[in-house]
Amino acid sequence: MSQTVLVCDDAIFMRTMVGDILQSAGFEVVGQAESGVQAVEQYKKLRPDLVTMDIVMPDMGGIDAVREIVKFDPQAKILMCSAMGQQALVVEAIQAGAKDFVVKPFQPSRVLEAVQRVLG
Amino acid sequence: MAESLVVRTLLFRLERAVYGCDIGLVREIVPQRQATRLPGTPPWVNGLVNLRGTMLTVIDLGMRLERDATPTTEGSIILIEAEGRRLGVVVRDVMDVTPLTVEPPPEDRPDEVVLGLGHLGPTVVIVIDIRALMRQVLL
Repeated sequence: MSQTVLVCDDAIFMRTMVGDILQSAGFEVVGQAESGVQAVEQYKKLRPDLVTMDIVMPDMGGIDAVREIVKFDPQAKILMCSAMGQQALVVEAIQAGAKDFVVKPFQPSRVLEAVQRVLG
Repeated sequence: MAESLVVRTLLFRLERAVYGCDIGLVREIVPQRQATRLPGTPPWVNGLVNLRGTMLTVIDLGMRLERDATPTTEGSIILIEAEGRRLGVVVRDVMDVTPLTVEPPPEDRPDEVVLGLGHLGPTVVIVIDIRALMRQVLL
């Protein structure tokens, strides 16, 4: 059975791109979220094996969403998607419980390497 | 883009994540001991510790770096020395020493005291710039 992923980003283009990269590697994208609030709701409902999380999103940002998800499930495997120059936020996300990060613009190989590290 | 940097790193754990610093500046690691508080210092400054007759300023790195961190009480003090100055840094657990590639490049510095991030297997290591930390505390 393929591993399941929840893709969280406020830009549909990014959701589609990340989803395509992961689907082509055999993952099943079971949900998408365009805000931190939706990410937390979807996580609780879907319990995916992996979450990809944009850092800056409306309603609730990615870092607060990580805190909420990790509070709900300390074993959650969350991969942060950051832009160049957001390292301060990446550090905060790792402290909040995210497992790893990739920096945009995404190279599929970098994304999959990070996913493999996160999923062990 | 600057080259990534390979640092021989002392790895240690704080409350919420794994961190590292350049082992070249580490002189000694001793069990945490009671510090004498210094009035008017931030909560992350534990105070002064008498280490074999020498007074050492000691800080709680978790309280300095992590949001909502609780004070460390039974950790270790990493004694660091640079430019003729010494500082004691309290951490929860000292883990290992390993070469670590630190990315992204130093111009993207989030916090003066964070040098960058490294990967060690499945773990992201937040690498601390010990010299910057010392400047912040001791100047």
